[in-house]
Amino acid sequence: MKLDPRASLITVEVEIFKGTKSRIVRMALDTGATYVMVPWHVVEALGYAPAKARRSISITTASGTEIAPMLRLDKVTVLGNSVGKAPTICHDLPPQSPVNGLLGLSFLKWFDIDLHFLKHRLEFKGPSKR
Amino acid sequence: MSAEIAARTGAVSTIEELIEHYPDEWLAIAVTAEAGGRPTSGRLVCHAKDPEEVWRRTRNWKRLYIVYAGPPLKKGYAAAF
Repeated sequence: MKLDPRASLITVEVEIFKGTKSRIVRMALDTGATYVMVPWHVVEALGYAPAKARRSISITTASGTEIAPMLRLDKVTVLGNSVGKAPTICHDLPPQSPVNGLLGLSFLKWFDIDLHFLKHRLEFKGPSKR
Repeated sequence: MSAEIAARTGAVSTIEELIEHYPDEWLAIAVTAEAGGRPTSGRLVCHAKDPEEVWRRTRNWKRLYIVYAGPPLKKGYAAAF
């Protein structure tokens, strides 16, 4: 996909699934995030119940340490590349955030990702399905 | 006619056209075409300034693209997650 080297944030369209229901949202590509992170209202709209998650985890953010529920989303797809059961934390971004989550290492680690700032291209390489 | 019904019967627009037409709003779009794994056109289902309103009004849809019609970051802002 085309990469704008002047952009202040690298964003990608991410499709998240629960069964056959899905939503495509724009997330920030964040190699500094351990997990995919999705806001509460997004996962709840898909039918997940983060409040009943069996597992929670402490997350360190720019503003401190918090505890957030951890889910495994049925499937996450980016540019035709999918990961099943990707560990995902449920945590809200600031209200004025223009993105609907962070695409972190729990998804990114399954691919080779090339950021060609000079060629203006972002490439995902890896297995198409897991 | 509700916005949802209008959207079901409405015209298909490119994603770029929809984003240009509803600046600084959140859009829910029923995708009709994709290229390279990215939505390229669709029908507008609803739009609002409040993202949670858009999510709440579209809970029953099977598949939607929900996007903010504005720059990833406003001028003068920087991201530090």
